[in-house]
Amino acid sequence: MSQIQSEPSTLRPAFMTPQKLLPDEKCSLGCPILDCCMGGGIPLQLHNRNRGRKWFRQNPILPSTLPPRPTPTLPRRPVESFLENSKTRLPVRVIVIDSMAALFRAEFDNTASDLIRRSSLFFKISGKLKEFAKRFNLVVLVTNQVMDVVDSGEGANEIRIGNLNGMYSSGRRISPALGLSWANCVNSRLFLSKDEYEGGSVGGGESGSQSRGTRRRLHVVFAPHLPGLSCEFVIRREGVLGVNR
Amino acid sequence: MDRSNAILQREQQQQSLNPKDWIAVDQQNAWDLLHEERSLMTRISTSCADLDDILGGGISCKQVTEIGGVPGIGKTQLGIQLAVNVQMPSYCGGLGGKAIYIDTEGSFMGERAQEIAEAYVEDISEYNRFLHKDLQACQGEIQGKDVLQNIYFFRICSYTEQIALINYLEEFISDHKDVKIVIIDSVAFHFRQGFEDMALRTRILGEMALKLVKLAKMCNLAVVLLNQVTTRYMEGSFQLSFSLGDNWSRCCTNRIILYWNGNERYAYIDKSPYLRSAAAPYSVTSRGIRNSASHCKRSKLV
Repeated sequence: MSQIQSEPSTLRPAFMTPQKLLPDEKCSLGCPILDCCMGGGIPLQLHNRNRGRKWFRQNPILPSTLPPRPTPTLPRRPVESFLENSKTRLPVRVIVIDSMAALFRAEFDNTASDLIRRSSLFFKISGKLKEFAKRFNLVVLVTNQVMDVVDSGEGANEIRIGNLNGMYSSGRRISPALGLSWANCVNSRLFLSKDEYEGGSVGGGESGSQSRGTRRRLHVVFAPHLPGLSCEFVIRREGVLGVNR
Repeated sequence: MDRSNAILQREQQQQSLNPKDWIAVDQQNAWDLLHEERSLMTRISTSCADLDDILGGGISCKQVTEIGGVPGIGKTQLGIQLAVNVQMPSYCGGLGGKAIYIDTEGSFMGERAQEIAEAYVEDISEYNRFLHKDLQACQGEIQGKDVLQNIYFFRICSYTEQIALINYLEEFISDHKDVKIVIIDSVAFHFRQGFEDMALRTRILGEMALKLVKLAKMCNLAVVLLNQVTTRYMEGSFQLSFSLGDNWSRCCTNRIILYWNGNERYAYIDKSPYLRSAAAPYSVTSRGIRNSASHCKRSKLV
């Protein structure tokens, strides 16, 4: 209030030239192949959204740049004041929300008024997260769930968003939960797919011993700085690694 | 909501103080307008020839153009491309102006802007070489760095900031007269939350749109508003429409919809006082917005 009523000159926003934004700071994924696919890592100040499995939760966190252990106080106090008064040895540079969909899918009905309330909340949350990303110069990673596409007729689910003309995982046609309004809230979206394959029939693969296997891929659905590409990856004991084929 | 009311009141006071400004602008007859339209180069190329064709040469100055589409269709890419192309020197048929880029979503990436700027610089120097084969290096070579320095970039984190910035734009532009385009990416984001009073929102948006229309006219620049799309329940089915409602849509002079057609991106002129409705394919390449590749092949065959 006081801010608004004071002299307009105090409100005068400062501009910068995009030169100042260079080079874009990136948070490494911990694997050169995945980093290459992501143009060097996940850019800071960009609000990412990532759908699929939970492994991403640990992975973009570099051991050298982050607190050694996730601080247990985080969930109990508001994130903003935590970030402001952070006494951790290293600054917080990553916020992971796992998952956004779980809460929103259960709590809201499928009525018009609930949907409007829900999408208004999305914009509020993402506005706040983007503000954090900018103020504290950090990465925000949000996981989402997927749902099956039931009917192939027209419907809200059928709107194509991003580079993939239909998303498939585990042999099923799927679409991201939370719909178009949430898609409007994020800067970039990645999609993780997982497919089972028979050892002999698909691709080269390891011969004989393994008859079945899973193939995981990371797809760039949309991102302001990346072309629509995809990369295969595996989950090992050491973490998540890209596969160069 | 007190905040926005306070802003509104202040704005209204400011406006009522100098009504002469408003009258002076509109004192022009149709002949003058026609003359002005013909004599001034008032288009900014999109770098996609097909899209420029249906737009009559590009995005026009003195007007507000709204561009909308689903996430990932290339709104931000088009915005960055325009911010670069507005700088095209006059000997290449450009405006030689600067750009204001207002980023409300945080989608603007420096490295992407650099990529597009460098491709632009390559194109310009190639054009130069073609044009003056004997007059090598008659002009100082432009560099990608210079192109980026001609973009004034603002990052906005709330709708109060957005309103304040738009109020401040007129002053800013009077200090930086060479600004020829204002891009807001996206105009809707901060207005899609926190408003219980929809009438108030409509009023604030109306004020904002008026300001932008006035700015475009008075300062002879193009205003490009990138907007999100939303699903709306109409006549028994879900349909895509621009966010911020019907009242808002009446404020913009031109409106372009970006959409997927199979695997191709298309732009469609949905509303324009002087252009006929038409659609054109375009593609987003590493060098920026360009003609659609498959479309090129087709036209070569014919």
